[in-house]
Amino acid sequence: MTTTPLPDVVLPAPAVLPRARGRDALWLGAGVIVLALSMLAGLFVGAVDIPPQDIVGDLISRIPFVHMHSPLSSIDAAIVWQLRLPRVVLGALVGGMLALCGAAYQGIFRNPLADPYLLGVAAGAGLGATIAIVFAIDITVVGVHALPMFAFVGAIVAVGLAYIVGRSVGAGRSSTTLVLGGVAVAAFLTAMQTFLQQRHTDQLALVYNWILGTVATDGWSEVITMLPYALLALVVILLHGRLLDVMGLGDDAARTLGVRTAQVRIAVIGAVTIGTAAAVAVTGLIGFVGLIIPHVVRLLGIRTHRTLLPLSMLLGASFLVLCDLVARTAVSPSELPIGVVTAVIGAPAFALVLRTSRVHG
Amino acid sequence: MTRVLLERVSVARGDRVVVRDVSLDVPSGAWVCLIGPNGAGKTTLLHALAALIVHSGTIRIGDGELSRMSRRGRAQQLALVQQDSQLPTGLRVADYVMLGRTPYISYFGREDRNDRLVVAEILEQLDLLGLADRLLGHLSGGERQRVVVARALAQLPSILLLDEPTTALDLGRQLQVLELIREQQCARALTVISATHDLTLAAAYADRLALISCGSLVAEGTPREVLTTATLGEHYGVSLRVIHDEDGSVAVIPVRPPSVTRSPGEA
Repeated sequence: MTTTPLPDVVLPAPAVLPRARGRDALWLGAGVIVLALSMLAGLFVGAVDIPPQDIVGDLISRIPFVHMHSPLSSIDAAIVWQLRLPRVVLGALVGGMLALCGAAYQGIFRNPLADPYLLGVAAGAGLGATIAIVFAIDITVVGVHALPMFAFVGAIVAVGLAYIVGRSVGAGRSSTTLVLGGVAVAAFLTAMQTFLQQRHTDQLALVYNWILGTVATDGWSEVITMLPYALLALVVILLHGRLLDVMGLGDDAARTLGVRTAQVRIAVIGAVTIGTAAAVAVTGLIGFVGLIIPHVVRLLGIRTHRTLLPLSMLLGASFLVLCDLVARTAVSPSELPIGVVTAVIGAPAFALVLRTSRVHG
Repeated sequence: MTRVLLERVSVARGDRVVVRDVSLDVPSGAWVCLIGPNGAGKTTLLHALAALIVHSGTIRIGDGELSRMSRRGRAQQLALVQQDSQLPTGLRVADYVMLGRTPYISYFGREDRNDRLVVAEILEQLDLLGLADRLLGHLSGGERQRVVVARALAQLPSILLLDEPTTALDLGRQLQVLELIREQQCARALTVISATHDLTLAAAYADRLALISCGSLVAEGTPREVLTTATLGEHYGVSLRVIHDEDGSVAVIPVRPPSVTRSPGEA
């Protein structure tokens, strides 16, 4: 068996590696601060004018053993804690999940154009949601309504089909056949969705609203519904950070390093599917975040997945919270669809980041 | 020091048998170079050795049998430098070389101090410390190949498999890379099995050559024994002149076939 190499070599100080590591830790710290500030902004700003200091005062008055009268009226307190906070948390959860899943897919498929909807999650969820809407299905299972349930199941089924189709074609192990399987399944499901919509034009507006996506909520039920899936996806994906770097070498090279590539791919695809399906089920289709945020993080000089994944999550969460802030205040008292805001703010911002990064090499 | 012994190894890709009944003894610490025309099966044989493709027959690695070894155990013994290594261009050199430590890190684990020491040591030996923070996409061809070799060495293998390690490099870089491999072979007592088109360079560096043609091993021995006008002419299907120098070096010179159409300059 292999033993240590060159026992007589004097070991040099390995000063090369920790330096990059320290820089990455700084970025992660910055990401946490950005997210905290974004969430505070989301909590402080809204259609109803509530002074931030009063919100802070209310927060302090809720600390046990602090005897202070809350400066907020009960209506204002309800707006802050039952409307704004759950909405901010849901936005952060969904934005973080989409960006994390996008980064994981770009890694596992070695494709910078991959996003979390690559294998048909959006088409499957879209068909599921359409079925729930046009047939007015009204069942509730453990507090979850038909629409998110159908969207979730549709998303999972779509990726399952894509996987089966991909595996059955050719070698089946390569990621290209998997992506093509996803394309085929998505086309098929979208066609079915279009057919259903066309037969039920009276409910078109409802379906359309769902497709545009929203993180509007009147309580914690969406957050609670999504949380277990999000946590599962989060843990599994973050644990695969180093292996995603290895997968970047190509399947053959990864296998010569002793990695079971098919197993890693299934684990990551499974986690991304569950996380994305849960996000889409509660908020509809929010685009752009999963595709663009990982690129922004790479442009910051983050190279390894171990940092790329969590930082994408932090910045994706911040981005969606801020986009939602714009969505609900820009044309107050009505709201913009959040998907419109993510693209309208995100695309120029991304172009700008791209440009500056080119200038600095 | 690990001997590699192939006994009646065959490999099929789909219905087609690409490597047929190859038996080859690679002594411990030797450098054997697989030569042969395009499509002869050199890469397939290397891939079989790296366990990337199933084979029939037996491949012995030291005392063990390749197909019975664990994935991890294999990866600690054998490292492959691929013909077209996919380089994740956005990765830094040090992080890339660190990926070579994968066989020693558990599934969800992370590298420890020893891994960092091994990588730093290899970077130093391959004169890559200055490039450690450079992105792979910003390297020249020669640097890139050195980095790929560094990643393979980070596996601390006893056997190094090289598939066309010097293609696409200019003559100077080719020699640099081969010299580097030669140095590391001696320093680490590596058994090296490479595949190349370049017969002259193969003769210069390998201890023994194995000529593969249409999937079968047709000649094996020292460069002087294998590189003969008759053998090469037969299997490459062209006219050649082989010049053996007194110092042991060999030059293979292609001879143009007599042609009806001649270039204007020769008219």
